[in-house]
This record gives sequence, structure tokens and C-alpha cells, in this order.
Amino acid sequence: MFLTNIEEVPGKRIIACYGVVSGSTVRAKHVGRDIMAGLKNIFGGELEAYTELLSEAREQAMLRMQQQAESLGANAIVNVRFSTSSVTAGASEIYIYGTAVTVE
Amino acid sequence: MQYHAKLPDDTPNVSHQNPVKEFLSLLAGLLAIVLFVYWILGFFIDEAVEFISPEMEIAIFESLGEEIIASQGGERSDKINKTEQHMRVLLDDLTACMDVGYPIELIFQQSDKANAFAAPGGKMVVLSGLLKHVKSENGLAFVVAHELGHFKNRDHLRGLGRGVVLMALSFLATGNMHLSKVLVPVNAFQNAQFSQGRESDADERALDIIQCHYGHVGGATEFFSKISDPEDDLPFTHYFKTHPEAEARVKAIQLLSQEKHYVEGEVKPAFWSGTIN
Amino acid sequence: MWDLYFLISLIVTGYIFGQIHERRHYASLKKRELEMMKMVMTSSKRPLGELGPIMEAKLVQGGVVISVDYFKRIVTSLRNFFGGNIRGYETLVDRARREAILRLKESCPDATQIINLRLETSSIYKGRGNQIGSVEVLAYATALYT
Repeated sequence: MFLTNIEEVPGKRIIACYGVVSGSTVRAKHVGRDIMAGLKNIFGGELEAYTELLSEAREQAMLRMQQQAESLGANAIVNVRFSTSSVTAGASEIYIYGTAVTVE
Repeated sequence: MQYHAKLPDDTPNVSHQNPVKEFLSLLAGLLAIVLFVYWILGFFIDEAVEFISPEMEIAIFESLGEEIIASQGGERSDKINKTEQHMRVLLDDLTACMDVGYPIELIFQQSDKANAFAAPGGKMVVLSGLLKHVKSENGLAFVVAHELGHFKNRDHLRGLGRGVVLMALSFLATGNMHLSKVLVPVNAFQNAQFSQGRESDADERALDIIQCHYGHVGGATEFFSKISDPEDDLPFTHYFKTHPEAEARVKAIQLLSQEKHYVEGEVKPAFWSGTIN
Repeated sequence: MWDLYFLISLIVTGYIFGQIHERRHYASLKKRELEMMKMVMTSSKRPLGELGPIMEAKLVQGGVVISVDYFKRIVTSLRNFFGGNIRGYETLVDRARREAILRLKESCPDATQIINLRLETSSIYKGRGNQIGSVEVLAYATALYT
């Protein structure tokens, strides 16, 4: 599956379009990681637990979007956009959407 | 290029697990963890209690003790009445038999509840409802001596420590003060104090005190026998949770006094008859 | 003790009404999505295919604020302890986004194409103990008329 955040898949011609597909997820880390991150806040630096959380959430949302595209019969998603918000404390919410297309 | 009008499969973005099942399994897991940590911390508290000197205890729990007493309900009369005076004399006599290590202050409160408990800071609280269920001075003396036993064993600190741990744990686990207040009622310290081993230790000390003061153990089981009567609908406190439990307790006390070769004698009449409604 | 009964009744009512609400909302979403299926909508900047002369292009939008029920809030605080996917909120944001997109489509039923779809999410209400209980989703796009 091709994923791009531009209008087309370079070097390929789009032959069919299926509309907008999306994937979303809300995830949290267990309380131990939350506490460690809280302690880390005192010293500064990267909060590995949350970096991990974000990348996990992104992976999962991306996978879900691809599943939707596959169910439509598409083989590429163009114009992919990420959107995020905090729906509850300590959790990461990721939303990914794009246009499902078929390329040659 | 053509446009295919189709709806994407919406299953990946939506949950399909039964929410009730998820809720119950999460709750069970959380409870298991909390109980485990609570149990572990209990050991540390028992160790720590040995290091708290009586002076330190009074300094730390001065205000907290008042709050716990207030949480049990009941009114405190401004002036000391005759019953309370009598009770203080009784307490002084009993403490003469066993040195608790620090001064005990008796607080007598008007309440329907039949209860007495050891609060931190050397405060022993007796609720007036108790007097309705004991008919002799010896019966009351045993209850007071039992609480003295708790003070001697420092069970009130153990109970309080566990109560605080329980509160902190439930707050940490849920991150919700409202929820933890519901899960752990204010008087949790009282229930946490309850442990069969600790209760029978206190009973043994109480028996010794009674034997020392009166020269016999008559009337010792009076209050507990009254409670163990299934006909009686009594509010159970930290003494017992069920009727059979109370019966077992009475038997255990009788057995213990036999082992120690204590005998029963003439009981003294109550000094409060008529003074309590 | 009354506190506990109050909490349990809140959870039970939250569960029952939350489930009824969610089921109804999903049924209505599916029905309306099927009705609106024929509308061409993409997240691309350029229109799809050759449209010929475009008479009008205008910004269209749809927004919605949805709240989560008490039962799900409790499950979420438990889930926060163990980590993992918070399912209650996943359905919440899913419903909110589909509703926002549907409202956007319904605001321009005669458009030939809707292009450059964008979505914004924010939490606008903080409930007890800073627990965020509702999400707001705004969908916006350009509608083309030929």
C-alpha cells in the first residue's frame, strides 16, 4: 500500500478514487509509566514512555486506515493528514485520514 | 479516472468487546493489585509502629484523632457527668494493673451505637449506647480493658496506618478523589483495625487486667454473650461481624481463663443505672 | 454507604442510556452515510477528473460536540491504570467525526464535489477532576458547483 501526503503517488497514475478513509485510536500507558514520566518532568528530557505511546498510537491508526482502504479495494492513500487531540488525561488520541485511490 | 461510491468498512475504528466484561475484568485486576500492595504495606506498618514513641504519636495525631472521633458520630457533653467520672476512675484503676506506656484520656460520647474504640493520641472513646448492653461494672471493665489491650499492642496505629494506605492506594489507582472516598469510607480505619489475631490478643490482655483488678474474671464475657444472642439485633462494630463469630469469641475467652486458672466471682452492680436513658 | 449506591446508580444509568444512545446514533450514521454515499468527497487539493467550468467554490463546514457517559468514564479511569486501547473513547471520537462529516455533506447537498476535507478535534469541556468528558469535531472543506 502506497501512502503519501501529496496529491499523487509520484511515477504512478491514479485510475480510480474511493473517497475519504480514516483510522483513529485512543491509547494509554499503564500507571507505572505515567509515574515515571511524572518524575522525569522534574529533570526534563525526553519522556520515552510517551514517545512510545505516540508512535504506537500512530502505527495502530495508520493500520486501521489501511484496513479501511483495503476493504474498498484501493491500493494507495494520497493526501494523508494527521490530527490529534487530548480526549482524556494521560492518553493519546490520533486520527489519520486520506483519500483512497487505485494506482496503476 | 472514475469515482467508486462505496462505504469503507467501519469495523477497525470501533470497539466490539463487551464493555461490561471489560469493566469487570479491569475492576477485578485493580482490586487484586490493591489488595496485594495493601497486604505488603501492612507488614511495613507493623514494623514502623514499633518505632513511634508515645510522645511522637500524640504530636502527630493530635488533630487527626479528633477527626476520627467526630466521624464516629455521637455528641460530647460539655460538662463531665457522674457516669463519666466513674468511668475515669475505673480506667485509672485498670491502667494501674497494666502500664500502657502513656496516659490514656477517656472520652464519653452520647450515641445510640454500642461501641468503644482506641483512637490515636491516647484517646479512648466510649459511646453511651454500650452501657445499655452491659449490666455490671465488670462487663464494662472488660470492654475498657480490651481497648487498653489495643493501646498496649498499638493496634490503633496499625489500623490507622492501614486506613491511610488504603485511601492513598485507591486514589492512586483511580485518580479520582470522589471514587476513592466512596470506596474507602471515613471509618475505614476501624474496619482495618479488625483482625482476629489482634482481637484475641487484646482479649487476653483484658482478661489479665480484669483478674488483677477484681481478683476474678466474672462478667468478662457479658457484653460479648449479649451480642452473640441471635435474638438481639445489635449494630456490629469492630468486635464482630456476625453472630457465630461472637459465640466463638466468648468460647475462646472462657477457654483462655480456664487455662490461666482464673475463676469467676461476684460481679459489681452497674454504677450508671438510671443515669442513662 | 449512600455514596456507593449513588455511584452505582450513576454507572448503571450511564451504561443503559449510553448504550441506547450509541446504538441509535450508529444506526442513524449508517443510514445517512448510505444516503450521502454518492457525493464525491476527497482530501485532495484538486478536483477529481475533468469537471469543466466551475460555477462556484465555497467553504463548507460541519461540527458536533459529543459527550461520553459516566460508565465509560469509569472504565477509562480503570483502563488508564493498566494501559492499552481506551475503547469507550474510540467510539466517541469515531461517532463525532462521522457525524461532523455528515453534517458538512448535508450543508451542501447540491455540490458536485467536496475537496480538501480537513478535520479538527478539540476537547472543550473538562469535567470533575479534569477528566475530559466531551469532544468537539469540526470538519471543513471546499464545495465545488458546476
